[in-house]
Amino acid sequence: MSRVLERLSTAILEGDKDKAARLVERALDQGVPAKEILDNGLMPGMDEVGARFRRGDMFVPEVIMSADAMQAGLDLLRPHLVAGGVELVGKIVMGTVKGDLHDIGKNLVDMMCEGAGFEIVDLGFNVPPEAFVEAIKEHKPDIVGMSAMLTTTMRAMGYTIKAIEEAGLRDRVKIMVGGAPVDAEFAKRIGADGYGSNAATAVELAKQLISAN
Amino acid sequence: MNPILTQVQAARMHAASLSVLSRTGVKVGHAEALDLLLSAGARRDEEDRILIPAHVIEEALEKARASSSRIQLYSRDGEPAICLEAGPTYFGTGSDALQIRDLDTGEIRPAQLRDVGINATVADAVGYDFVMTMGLPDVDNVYPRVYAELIRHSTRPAVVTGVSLADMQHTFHIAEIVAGGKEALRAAPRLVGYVEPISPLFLDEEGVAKLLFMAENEHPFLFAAGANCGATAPVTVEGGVVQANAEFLAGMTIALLKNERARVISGANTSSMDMRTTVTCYGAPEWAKTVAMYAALGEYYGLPSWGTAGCSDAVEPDFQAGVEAYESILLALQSRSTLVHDMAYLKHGLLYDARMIVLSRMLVDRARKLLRPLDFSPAALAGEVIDDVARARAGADNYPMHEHTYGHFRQALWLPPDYWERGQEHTRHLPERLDEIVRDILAGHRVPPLPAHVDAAIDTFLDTLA
Repeated sequence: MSRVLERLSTAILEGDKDKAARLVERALDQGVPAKEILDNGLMPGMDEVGARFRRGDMFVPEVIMSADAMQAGLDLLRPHLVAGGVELVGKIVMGTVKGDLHDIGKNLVDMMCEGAGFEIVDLGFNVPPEAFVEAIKEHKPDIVGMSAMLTTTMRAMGYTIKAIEEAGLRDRVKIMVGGAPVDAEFAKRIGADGYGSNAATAVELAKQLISAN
Repeated sequence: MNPILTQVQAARMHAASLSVLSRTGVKVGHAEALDLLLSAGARRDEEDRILIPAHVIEEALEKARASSSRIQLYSRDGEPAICLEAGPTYFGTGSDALQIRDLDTGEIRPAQLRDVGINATVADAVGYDFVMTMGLPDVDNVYPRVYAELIRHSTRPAVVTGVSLADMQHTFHIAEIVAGGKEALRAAPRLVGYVEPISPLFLDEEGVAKLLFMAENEHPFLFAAGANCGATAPVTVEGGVVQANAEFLAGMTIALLKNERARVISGANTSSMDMRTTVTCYGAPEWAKTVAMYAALGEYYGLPSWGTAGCSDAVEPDFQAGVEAYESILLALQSRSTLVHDMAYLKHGLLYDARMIVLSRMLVDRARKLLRPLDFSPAALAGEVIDDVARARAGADNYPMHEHTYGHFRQALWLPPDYWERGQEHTRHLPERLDEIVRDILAGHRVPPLPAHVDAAIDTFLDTLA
């Protein structure tokens, strides 16, 4: 592996956004193919971040900085990847469900999924079921992610899944849910494909859902 | 004296909150509240933030001191129960836990309506000063229903939650049925409304609607933000309290502008977000610390303060639960926080386990004994007794036999309950022994029933909601 890609991995691990962007540019200048920069520079850095996070050696604010650095690198890489016909890991439509105005948790999931190479379409908060349905038609995501902060609004997740079913779109997407009052049992009951207890496990879950596809 | 924040420092925190309100301001999603603030001298900036100058807040605080420095709460049956004022600390349970540890199977399962009654019975028996629901079952019109369940199983004053304005109206309507009308409830309030802004610095329409309902009807209430360090507030406890206190001050001001007899309790809920799992911590030292800070601010304002203690992030009433619960209880008492809730919450606010209701209440007795002020009377200094024993006078040449021991040991010592290990080796561990206590309580403790016509009227009202 080239020296520049190793340094790129380190920049991701250190959450150094500017350095990551500089190194991606340098690698492109040196003629390293975009796919190789992604697979051998950005991804190994982020994988190590994930491993350290799971071991308890890194914490959420550090992971966010790393995800941000990853994002900066990906932004530079994306046109080259698209030109080369390389697809990103997957696409996620994300939103806080109807009636719920809390979006900090969802935003964390957005950021960390983007850092892991997903494309995110964020519908914001207080998103009615029909808006999720429309977004699936328009963006053709692999995954739909829903968040709720309140015990009362978590039910809207079930209504949203129902609306997706009624629109005949349920088999086109995987659905993952999360938020303070939600648990795995609830996710199962409303017919979601998975539950993430926090932003980091949401990323793992999204990867699993993609590989199960 | 407050071990965390002095009164001089409280003044600095207050000034920092005022600065946030005049510089950054709040978003207000309620038309009437907006009018109230703007007419009082606040101004709207180009980003639609409402900047509130210090004098508007200070004027409201002055009125709040007059209306709320002493709030007498009554029992379900109308007897004076607890008086929210500078000095005493009152402990109560927490509210909307989604999960319950089943008494029979030991499994964690979703809360049901009957769990509210069971937990309220236990809380009533072990002597909590006030109660909250300790369970949120998945039923329609859940908030008035859990309140009805609560007052059928405890006579203590209550703190009540609700998502919508209608939830609060329905719950307070039940309280009016019990009190014998609107005026009777106003004269002898039995419950406190729990209202909250959305941190950071957003006073949403529904939240403000509930606040105005409380203010208009003079129902005592709190406006306690869930401002968690590192999540919805700055990561430092100092910054977290500055922000959440600003949120409280903004809500308090709206309430007092609406009605200068509004009864308001100061403080907020400021814990931290766990930096691995992103959950809100209920057993973190940060929360114990901010409770003490809000108590100091309450003292500075001349208002009762809202606190949190006796809870844990552990899933069982185990070592971790004991450490976390005791630490926060101790600080709440030392700082003289007024109304301390969430006692016995487990699993970062998701779980209620009746055994913990017993354990946390017992830890209050222990902490109170620890913090009992020293006594410099001759009887306590005991020079006479020391002389007696040394000279074998007064019929005793040892302390156990001396009358002084007999006369003072109950006040002098913490006498643990018999399930606490002290020398004797128990064959069963603490959680099992707590389980027995819970069973004994449920078999023996009887809460006086509501009068039959009141009980029936509540049912009739709840039926209209269905």
